[in-house]
Amino acid sequence: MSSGAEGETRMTTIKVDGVEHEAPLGGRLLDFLESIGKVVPRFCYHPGLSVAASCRQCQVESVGKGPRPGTIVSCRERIVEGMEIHTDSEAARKARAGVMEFLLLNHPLDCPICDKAGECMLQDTAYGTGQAAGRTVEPRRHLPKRKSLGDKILLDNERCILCTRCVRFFEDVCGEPQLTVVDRGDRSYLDTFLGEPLRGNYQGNIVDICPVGALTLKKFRFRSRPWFMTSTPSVCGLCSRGCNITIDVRNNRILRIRPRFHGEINRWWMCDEGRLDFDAYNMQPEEGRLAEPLIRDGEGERPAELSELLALAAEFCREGPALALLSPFATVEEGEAFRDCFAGLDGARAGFLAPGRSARADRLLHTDDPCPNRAGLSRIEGLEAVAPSEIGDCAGKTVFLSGFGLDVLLHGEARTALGRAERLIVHGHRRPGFGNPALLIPARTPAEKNGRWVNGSGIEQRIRPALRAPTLVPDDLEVFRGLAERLARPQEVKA
Amino acid sequence: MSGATDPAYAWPLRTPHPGHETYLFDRIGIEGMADLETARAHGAYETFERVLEEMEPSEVTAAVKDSGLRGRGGAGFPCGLKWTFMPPLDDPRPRFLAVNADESEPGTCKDRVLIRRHPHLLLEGILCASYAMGITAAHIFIRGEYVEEARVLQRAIDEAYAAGWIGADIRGKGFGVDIHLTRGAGAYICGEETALMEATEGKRGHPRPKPPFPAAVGLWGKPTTVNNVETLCNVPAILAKGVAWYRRIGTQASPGNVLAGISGHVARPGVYEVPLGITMRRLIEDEAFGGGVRNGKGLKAFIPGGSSSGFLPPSELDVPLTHDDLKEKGTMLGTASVIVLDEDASIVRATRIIADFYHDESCGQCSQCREGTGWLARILARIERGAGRPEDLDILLEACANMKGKTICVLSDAAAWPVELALRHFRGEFEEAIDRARTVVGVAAGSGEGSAS
Repeated sequence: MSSGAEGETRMTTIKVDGVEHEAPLGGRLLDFLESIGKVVPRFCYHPGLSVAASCRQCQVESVGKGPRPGTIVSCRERIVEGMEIHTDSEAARKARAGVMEFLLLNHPLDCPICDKAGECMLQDTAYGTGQAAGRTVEPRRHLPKRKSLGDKILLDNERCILCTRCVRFFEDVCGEPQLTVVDRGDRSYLDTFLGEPLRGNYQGNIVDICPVGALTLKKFRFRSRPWFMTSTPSVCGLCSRGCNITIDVRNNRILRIRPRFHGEINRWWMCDEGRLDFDAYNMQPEEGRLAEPLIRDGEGERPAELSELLALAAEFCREGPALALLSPFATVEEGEAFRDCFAGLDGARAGFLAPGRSARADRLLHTDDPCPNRAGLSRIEGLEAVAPSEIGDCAGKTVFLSGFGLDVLLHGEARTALGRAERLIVHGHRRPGFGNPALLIPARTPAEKNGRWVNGSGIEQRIRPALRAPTLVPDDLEVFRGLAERLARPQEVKA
Repeated sequence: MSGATDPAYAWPLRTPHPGHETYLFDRIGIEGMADLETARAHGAYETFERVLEEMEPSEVTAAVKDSGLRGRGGAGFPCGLKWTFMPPLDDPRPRFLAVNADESEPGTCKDRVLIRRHPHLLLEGILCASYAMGITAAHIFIRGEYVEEARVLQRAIDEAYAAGWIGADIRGKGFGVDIHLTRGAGAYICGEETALMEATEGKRGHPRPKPPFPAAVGLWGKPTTVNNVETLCNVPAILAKGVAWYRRIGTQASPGNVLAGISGHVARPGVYEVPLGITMRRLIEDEAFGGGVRNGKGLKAFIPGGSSSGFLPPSELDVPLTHDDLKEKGTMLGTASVIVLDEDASIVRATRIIADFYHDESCGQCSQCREGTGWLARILARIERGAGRPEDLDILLEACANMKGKTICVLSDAAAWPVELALRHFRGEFEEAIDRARTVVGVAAGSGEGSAS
């Protein structure tokens, strides 16, 4: 809630629906009403955007001091002394129902085929105002229903209620206007400037803030009704920002990732990369997902029990000199367990891969660090940060590569160096694409595990499993603990 | 001078009328008043020069405030009071005067006459107002369709610049102001003061939510006063002849003369300078003005102040032309642009035409106006073509109620008023249209229209 720039917010007493409340002087009325549990429907107002005050849905009745008596739009109104507000009076309800009726005059009412149905503000508010039947018999306006706005987003002009949230998102948040309202009155329609496709890494956000089904993600279109999906709060792993996300899953497949509000990290937004690049998490065995432990057997491979692989891995490591590299996607808990594995092993070098900075940083969210947990792993004593250039020659060594995403972060020379290892053990969610691993231990993806990540600015956050891992894929911690056990008590394992 | 006809318009400008003192149109009949030389010969800028020499800015504001001059753009807000809303003169920020020459209300073409025939009167009014408020620059926003007027005005501005009446340090008195002319692109909404400022800034003409009011945050975020052309043209006369003289014209609450346009089914359509307080009957029937309904027909209805002020029946003909008297009748003086409908006119059709206009001109920002103007127009069109339903009239009234007083600007209200007034005074005609349709076409006249929801 906005308030005075400096010092404490001064409070004042205002009356809402006959009850006195302490309210911040100068605060936004709509935000305050919401904070005391009043439901104020709105379309154009979004706390992260400038105020347009054009949909007029958030009307309440003012009867006290301050604004003129009558219905006022609460999104634009600031709290003043002596204010008295009715949110549910006849006048307020009538004004809001009136707006709803106007908005539905030309709305196609194609909820049965609309992706937004079920999480649509227009639909919810229409139910809320309680007007059961429309009174219009006039023809509705017809506009393009499948207009491509580039490779990510599709626009349905008929459903659009011209709230201009998307227009303001590009203006206010991206600082680069791309959308505009063309023409006048009820002939107005949303379009990009000169019909150009949308650009940039933040387009997906306009789908989230669209209060209706006008803007839809091509990737999610017609994939699922929202109520058939399970939502898991988690954290994005595609850079060190640590954007808070909600992962929407149906039948153990991620269908959609949405940003989740965090005031200090990503506010309401996330980048398209984090939103759309979830195919690796959805990878199935037939698509190359490593779904069971495998041992190289001559020219071929054979499935084996995890315990057999762990025993062999421990043996290889002791034959050493061992280089154990952990992925920077690993959680803090995994980092600690990984370090403990190799702590007592002579000649072993255990660290996490710390690739160089990318050129991907932008002024909004994306950072130049492709690792979601570099900060968290750096804090672990005894776990060295290993740059790809510091890997060195691996000929004659045992190399243990562990964790989701290592193969993606390793390139060129590092791959060649690692590929020359005497004994290559890979603990990953798929085959590495280099070298000839003697042991392949399946690993979980960040969408399948529980743990802590520390983002680039030092904020510790929890990731949660949104997907069930394939049956024979053990938890990464189980692998590290099993390995630690076998490295610490070699006799038992041999026996 | 009476009876002068402007060949460019075939539009008679019958003023002044004997028996009335005129100060707006008193010199417009003179050939060449748009030229600085002729205008100077007839006293242009003399008042401003005297004001520069003899009056303090605060005295100018006080005089305009005391004169009781009310805005002539439609709302009738006291002009001098508006000027006092500007920050004190020692405020270092630049400040602007926005001159509303976006005359677009149907039936209204008074400012056009002033600009075309006597542009230096407007410029003198701007200069006096600028002096009073310490204006840095005045921006005239003229409607795009006024091509010739824009040319005439620009020439007048150029001539006045060249002669040192506009610019820095005018007449060596240490006061300077610039005057700029911006042409609109054909949107009625740009006559709304905040949309006008947006358009002047080069943006889409969308009204801004108020508050903040222009005097606090106006053009380019700076303190701004918005005045109508005719309002500013009143100022030199007030300053030249005095407050007492001015207050003798018109009524106590609405002093001064007003430019009343009479159009429609009258014998003598035109723009007339008349004192406020004159009755509608005189304006329409007097031989010196409208000359009565043309071809000897009876009067069906009249619109008192531009299309948004709606229809009044002949029984209201004795209403005086003042802000308050017309407000009492549920309408407004508006731009004092009277439109006359004779007995053959269809109120249903006339209302539909007005609704079409507002449907066309809604900017589309606010839901109620964007959708409501179209709904009104479509329902009225349906009634007009014989497919009306009895319930349509109540729906119209409810839609009007939901459109009024709930939007960023008053275009939504302006669209609702004429429909409401038509239904208040001429409901029978609508019911007749609906009944006739149902007898001729059959009972279910309304069904089969578009998709029922």
